[in-house]
Amino acid sequence: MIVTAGATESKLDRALERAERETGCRSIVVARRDGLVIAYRLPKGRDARVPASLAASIFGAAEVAVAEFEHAGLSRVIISCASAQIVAQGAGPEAIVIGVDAEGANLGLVLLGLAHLSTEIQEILDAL
Amino acid sequence: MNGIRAGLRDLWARLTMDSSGRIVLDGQRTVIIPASVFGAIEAAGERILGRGMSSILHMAGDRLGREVAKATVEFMEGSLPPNAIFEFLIDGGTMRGFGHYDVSAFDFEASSGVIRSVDQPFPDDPIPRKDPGCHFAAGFWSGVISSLRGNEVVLDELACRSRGAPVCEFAPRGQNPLVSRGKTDGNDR
Repeated sequence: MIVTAGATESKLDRALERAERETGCRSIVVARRDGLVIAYRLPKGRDARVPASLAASIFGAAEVAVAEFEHAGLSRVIISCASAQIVAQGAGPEAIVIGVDAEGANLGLVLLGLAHLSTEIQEILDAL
Repeated sequence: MNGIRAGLRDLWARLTMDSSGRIVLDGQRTVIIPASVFGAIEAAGERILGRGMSSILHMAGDRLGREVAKATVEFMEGSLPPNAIFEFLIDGGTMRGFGHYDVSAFDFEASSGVIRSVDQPFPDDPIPRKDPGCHFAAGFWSGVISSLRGNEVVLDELACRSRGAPVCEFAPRGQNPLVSRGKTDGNDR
Protein backbone atom coordinates (compact mmCIF):
# COMPACT_ATOMS: atom_id res chain seq x y z
CA MET A 1 0.00 0.00 0.00
CA ILE A 2 1.27 3.46 -0.80
CA VAL A 3 0.00 6.92 -0.09
CA THR A 4 1.92 10.03 -1.10
CA ALA A 5 1.10 13.67 -1.53
CA GLY A 6 0.56 15.51 -4.79
CA ALA A 7 2.73 15.89 -7.88
CA THR A 8 5.70 13.92 -6.60
CA GLU A 9 3.52 10.86 -6.04
CA SER A 10 4.59 8.85 -9.06
CA LYS A 11 8.30 9.46 -8.48
CA LEU A 12 8.05 8.47 -4.84
CA ASP A 13 5.92 5.48 -5.81
CA ARG A 14 8.50 4.25 -8.31
CA ALA A 15 11.34 4.77 -5.85
CA LEU A 16 9.54 2.82 -3.13
CA GLU A 17 8.56 0.05 -5.53
CA ARG A 18 12.18 -0.35 -6.63
CA ALA A 19 13.42 -0.31 -3.03
CA GLU A 20 10.90 -2.94 -2.06
CA ARG A 21 12.10 -5.13 -4.94
CA GLU A 22 15.80 -4.56 -4.20
CA THR A 23 15.64 -5.03 -0.45
CA GLY A 24 12.75 -7.42 0.09
CA CYS A 25 11.49 -5.10 2.82
CA ARG A 26 7.72 -5.32 3.24
CA SER A 27 7.61 -2.22 5.37
CA ILE A 28 9.24 1.00 4.19
CA VAL A 29 8.26 4.47 5.36
CA VAL A 30 9.62 7.84 4.26
CA ALA A 31 9.06 10.51 6.88
CA ARG A 32 9.97 14.08 7.53
CA ARG A 33 12.50 14.51 10.31
CA ASP A 34 9.73 15.81 12.51
CA GLY A 35 7.85 12.53 12.03
CA LEU A 36 5.15 13.46 9.51
CA VAL A 37 4.55 10.84 6.83
CA ILE A 38 5.76 11.52 3.28
CA ALA A 39 5.18 8.13 1.64
CA TYR A 40 5.08 4.50 2.61
CA ARG A 41 4.66 0.87 1.71
CA LEU A 42 3.22 -1.19 4.50
CA PRO A 43 1.23 -4.39 4.87
CA LYS A 44 -2.50 -3.74 4.64
CA GLY A 45 -4.05 -2.33 7.77
CA ARG A 46 -0.88 -0.81 9.20
CA ASP A 47 -0.94 2.84 10.23
CA ALA A 48 2.04 4.74 8.79
CA ARG A 49 1.99 7.38 11.51
CA VAL A 50 3.64 5.21 14.15
CA PRO A 51 6.60 3.99 12.05
CA ALA A 52 7.08 7.55 10.79
CA SER A 53 7.20 8.83 14.36
CA LEU A 54 9.49 5.97 15.35
CA ALA A 55 11.83 6.82 12.49
CA ALA A 56 12.01 10.43 13.65
CA SER A 57 12.49 9.43 17.28
CA ILE A 58 15.10 6.74 16.60
CA PHE A 59 17.06 8.95 14.26
CA GLY A 60 16.63 12.03 16.46
CA ALA A 61 17.84 10.18 19.57
CA ALA A 62 20.78 8.75 17.64
CA GLU A 63 21.74 12.22 16.43
CA VAL A 64 21.65 13.49 20.00
CA ALA A 65 23.80 10.54 21.12
CA VAL A 66 26.34 11.16 18.34
CA ALA A 67 26.60 14.83 19.30
CA GLU A 68 26.69 14.02 23.03
CA PHE A 69 29.77 11.86 22.50
CA GLU A 70 31.31 14.56 20.30
CA HIS A 71 30.96 12.84 16.97
CA ALA A 72 29.13 13.84 13.82
CA GLY A 73 27.79 12.63 10.50
CA LEU A 74 25.18 10.05 11.48
CA SER A 75 24.05 8.19 8.38
CA ARG A 76 21.98 5.24 9.61
CA VAL A 77 20.76 3.34 12.65
CA ILE A 78 20.39 -0.45 12.61
CA ILE A 79 18.26 -2.28 15.14
CA SER A 80 18.85 -6.02 15.18
CA CYS A 81 16.36 -8.43 16.67
CA ALA A 82 15.94 -12.20 16.44
CA SER A 83 13.70 -12.23 13.38
CA ALA A 84 14.45 -8.98 11.52
CA GLN A 85 16.49 -5.84 11.28
CA ILE A 86 15.12 -2.35 11.31
CA VAL A 87 17.13 0.27 9.46
CA ALA A 88 16.62 4.03 9.77
CA GLN A 89 18.54 5.95 7.14
CA GLY A 90 18.86 9.69 6.63
CA ALA A 91 17.58 10.96 3.28
CA GLY A 92 19.00 14.46 3.08
CA PRO A 93 18.46 17.17 5.66
CA GLU A 94 14.67 16.93 5.76
CA ALA A 95 13.74 13.26 5.50
CA ILE A 96 14.35 9.79 6.89
CA VAL A 97 13.70 6.33 5.49
CA ILE A 98 12.90 3.42 7.76
CA GLY A 99 12.74 -0.16 6.50
CA VAL A 100 12.10 -3.52 8.13
CA ASP A 101 13.73 -6.44 6.35
CA ALA A 102 12.25 -9.89 5.92
CA GLU A 103 13.48 -12.81 8.02
CA GLY A 104 16.72 -14.18 6.59
CA ALA A 105 17.31 -11.17 4.35
CA ASN A 106 20.81 -10.19 3.30
CA LEU A 107 21.58 -7.10 5.40
CA GLY A 108 24.15 -5.87 2.90
CA LEU A 109 21.56 -5.77 0.12
CA VAL A 110 19.03 -4.14 2.43
CA LEU A 111 21.50 -1.40 3.38
CA LEU A 112 22.46 -0.90 -0.25
CA GLY A 113 18.83 -0.69 -1.36
CA LEU A 114 17.83 1.71 1.38
CA ALA A 115 20.87 3.89 0.70
CA HIS A 116 19.82 3.99 -2.96
CA LEU A 117 16.28 4.89 -1.92
CA SER A 118 17.53 7.63 0.40
CA THR A 119 19.50 9.21 -2.43
CA GLU A 120 16.45 9.10 -4.69
CA ILE A 121 14.20 10.57 -2.00
CA GLN A 122 16.66 13.40 -1.42
CA GLU A 123 16.77 14.16 -5.16
CA ILE A 124 12.98 14.12 -5.43
CA LEU A 125 12.56 16.41 -2.44
CA ASP A 126 15.39 18.72 -3.50
CA ALA A 127 13.58 19.28 -6.79
CA LEU A 128 10.41 20.56 -5.09
CA MET B 1 -14.04 40.63 23.80
CA ASN B 2 -17.09 40.97 26.08
CA GLY B 3 -18.31 37.62 24.80
CA ILE B 4 -15.00 36.01 25.67
CA ARG B 5 -15.03 37.60 29.14
CA ALA B 6 -18.56 36.33 29.73
CA GLY B 7 -17.46 32.92 28.50
CA LEU B 8 -14.49 33.01 30.86
CA ARG B 9 -16.77 33.82 33.81
CA ASP B 10 -19.03 30.96 32.76
CA LEU B 11 -16.04 28.63 32.53
CA TRP B 12 -14.88 29.58 36.03
CA ALA B 13 -18.41 29.06 37.34
CA ARG B 14 -18.33 25.47 36.04
CA LEU B 15 -15.10 24.64 37.86
CA THR B 16 -15.66 22.60 41.02
CA MET B 17 -13.29 21.31 43.68
CA ASP B 18 -14.08 18.42 45.99
CA SER B 19 -12.83 17.94 49.56
CA SER B 20 -9.73 16.07 48.40
CA GLY B 21 -8.67 18.92 46.12
CA ARG B 22 -9.74 17.44 42.78
CA ILE B 23 -10.69 20.23 40.38
CA VAL B 24 -13.27 19.17 37.80
CA LEU B 25 -14.51 21.01 34.70
CA ASP B 26 -17.42 19.56 32.73
CA GLY B 27 -16.77 16.11 34.18
CA GLN B 28 -13.04 16.09 33.44
CA ARG B 29 -10.35 16.32 36.10
CA THR B 30 -8.54 19.57 35.45
CA VAL B 31 -5.20 21.03 36.49
CA ILE B 32 -4.37 24.71 36.21
CA ILE B 33 -0.72 24.93 35.24
CA PRO B 34 1.66 27.52 33.79
CA ALA B 35 1.90 27.41 30.00
CA SER B 36 5.65 26.88 30.42
CA VAL B 37 4.97 23.24 31.37
CA PHE B 38 4.53 22.52 27.65
CA GLY B 39 7.90 24.11 26.96
CA ALA B 40 9.57 22.17 29.76
CA ILE B 41 8.29 18.87 28.39
CA GLU B 42 9.25 19.83 24.84
CA ALA B 43 12.74 20.94 25.86
CA ALA B 44 13.40 17.75 27.85
CA GLY B 45 12.08 15.59 25.01
CA GLU B 46 14.21 17.38 22.42
CA ARG B 47 17.26 16.97 24.64
CA ILE B 48 16.88 13.19 24.25
CA LEU B 49 14.99 12.65 21.00
CA GLY B 50 16.01 15.70 18.97
CA ARG B 51 13.49 16.49 16.23
CA GLY B 52 11.80 13.17 16.97
CA MET B 53 10.07 14.92 19.86
CA SER B 54 8.03 16.89 17.33
CA SER B 55 6.09 13.83 16.24
CA ILE B 56 5.33 12.85 19.83
CA LEU B 57 3.88 16.29 20.52
CA HIS B 58 1.91 16.19 17.26
CA MET B 59 0.50 12.74 18.07
CA ALA B 60 -0.34 13.76 21.63
CA GLY B 61 -2.18 16.82 20.33
CA ASP B 62 -3.96 14.74 17.69
CA ARG B 63 -5.14 12.24 20.29
CA LEU B 64 -6.38 14.95 22.64
CA GLY B 65 -8.08 16.79 19.79
CA ARG B 66 -10.04 13.68 18.82
CA GLU B 67 -11.07 13.07 22.42
CA VAL B 68 -12.18 16.67 22.90
CA ALA B 69 -14.11 16.70 19.62
CA LYS B 70 -15.83 13.41 20.43
CA ALA B 71 -16.75 14.53 23.93
CA THR B 72 -18.08 17.83 22.61
CA VAL B 73 -20.20 16.14 19.95
CA GLU B 74 -21.69 13.89 22.64
CA PHE B 75 -22.21 16.86 24.97
CA MET B 76 -24.03 18.81 22.23
CA GLU B 77 -26.29 15.84 21.48
CA GLY B 78 -26.53 16.72 17.80
CA SER B 79 -27.62 20.30 18.38
CA LEU B 80 -24.77 21.77 16.34
CA PRO B 81 -23.29 20.81 12.95
CA PRO B 82 -19.56 19.91 12.81
CA ASN B 83 -18.46 23.33 11.54
CA ALA B 84 -20.25 25.06 14.44
CA ILE B 85 -18.66 22.64 16.91
CA PHE B 86 -15.28 23.49 15.37
CA GLU B 87 -15.90 27.21 15.97
CA PHE B 88 -17.16 26.44 19.49
CA LEU B 89 -13.88 24.62 20.19
CA ILE B 90 -11.83 27.46 18.70
CA ASP B 91 -13.52 29.86 21.17
CA GLY B 92 -13.11 27.31 23.96
CA GLY B 93 -9.38 27.20 23.30
CA THR B 94 -9.18 30.97 23.70
CA MET B 95 -10.97 30.77 27.04
CA ARG B 96 -8.56 28.11 28.25
CA GLY B 97 -5.55 30.30 27.60
CA PHE B 98 -4.48 29.12 24.15
CA GLY B 99 -4.84 32.60 22.69
CA HIS B 100 -7.02 33.93 19.90
CA TYR B 101 -7.35 31.83 16.76
CA ASP B 102 -8.44 33.43 13.50
CA VAL B 103 -10.30 30.95 11.31
CA SER B 104 -11.74 33.48 8.84
CA ALA B 105 -9.38 32.19 6.13
CA PHE B 106 -10.11 28.53 6.84
CA ASP B 107 -12.85 26.63 5.03
CA PHE B 108 -13.91 23.82 7.35
CA GLU B 109 -16.17 22.16 4.77
CA ALA B 110 -13.39 21.98 2.16
CA SER B 111 -10.66 21.55 4.74
CA SER B 112 -8.58 24.21 3.04
CA GLY B 113 -7.10 27.56 3.87
CA VAL B 114 -5.20 28.76 6.89
CA ILE B 115 -5.80 28.91 10.64
CA ARG B 116 -3.87 31.74 12.31
CA SER B 117 -2.85 32.21 15.90
CA VAL B 118 -1.46 35.53 17.07
CA ASP B 119 -0.65 34.69 20.65
CA GLN B 120 -0.76 31.00 21.50
CA PRO B 121 1.70 30.16 24.30
CA PHE B 122 3.86 27.50 22.59
CA PRO B 123 6.26 29.83 20.71
CA ASP B 124 6.96 31.87 23.85
CA ASP B 125 9.33 29.32 25.36
CA PRO B 126 12.95 30.14 24.54
CA ILE B 127 13.77 26.76 22.99
CA PRO B 128 16.24 26.88 20.09
CA ARG B 129 14.31 25.44 17.13
CA LYS B 130 15.13 24.48 13.58
CA ASP B 131 11.45 24.04 12.71
CA PRO B 132 8.16 25.70 13.61
CA GLY B 133 7.49 24.88 17.24
CA CYS B 134 3.74 24.45 17.72
CA HIS B 135 3.54 20.70 17.11
CA PHE B 136 1.05 20.11 19.90
CA ALA B 137 -1.33 22.75 18.53
CA ALA B 138 -0.94 21.45 14.96
CA GLY B 139 -1.74 17.95 16.18
CA PHE B 140 -4.64 19.11 18.33
CA TRP B 141 -6.46 20.88 15.50
CA SER B 142 -5.63 18.00 13.13
CA GLY B 143 -7.36 15.66 15.56
CA VAL B 144 -10.34 17.97 16.08
CA ILE B 145 -10.91 18.50 12.35
CA SER B 146 -10.34 14.82 11.48
CA SER B 147 -12.79 13.70 14.14
CA LEU B 148 -15.47 16.23 13.21
CA ARG B 149 -15.15 15.68 9.45
CA GLY B 150 -14.75 11.93 9.65
CA ASN B 151 -11.65 11.82 7.42
CA GLU B 152 -7.97 12.25 8.06
CA VAL B 153 -6.64 15.80 7.94
CA VAL B 154 -3.10 16.69 8.97
CA LEU B 155 -2.33 20.29 9.74
CA ASP B 156 1.19 21.50 9.23
CA GLU B 157 2.60 24.68 10.69
CA LEU B 158 3.64 26.95 7.84
CA ALA B 159 4.88 29.87 9.91
CA CYS B 160 5.68 30.20 13.59
CA ARG B 161 6.27 33.15 15.89
CA SER B 162 9.17 31.24 17.43
CA ARG B 163 10.90 31.57 14.03
CA GLY B 164 10.16 35.29 13.69
CA ALA B 165 6.82 35.19 11.86
CA PRO B 166 4.19 37.69 13.06
CA VAL B 167 1.61 34.94 13.54
CA CYS B 168 1.56 31.15 13.63
CA GLU B 169 -0.18 29.65 10.60
CA PHE B 170 -1.57 26.14 10.21
CA ALA B 171 -2.87 24.55 7.02
CA PRO B 172 -3.71 21.06 5.77
CA ARG B 173 -0.73 19.34 4.19
CA GLY B 174 -0.56 19.94 0.47
CA GLN B 175 1.23 19.04 -2.72
CA ASN B 176 4.73 19.41 -1.38
CA PRO B 177 5.32 16.84 1.34
CA LEU B 178 7.96 19.06 2.92
CA VAL B 179 6.10 22.37 2.77
CA SER B 180 2.33 22.47 2.92
CA ARG B 181 0.56 24.75 0.49
CA GLY B 182 -2.74 24.59 2.25
CA LYS B 183 -4.48 22.01 0.06
CA THR B 184 -6.40 19.05 1.36
CA ASP B 185 -4.73 15.70 1.38
CA GLY B 186 -7.15 13.68 3.40
CA ASN B 187 -5.41 10.39 2.79
CA ASP B 188 -1.98 11.30 4.00
CA ARG B 189 -1.40 10.38 7.60
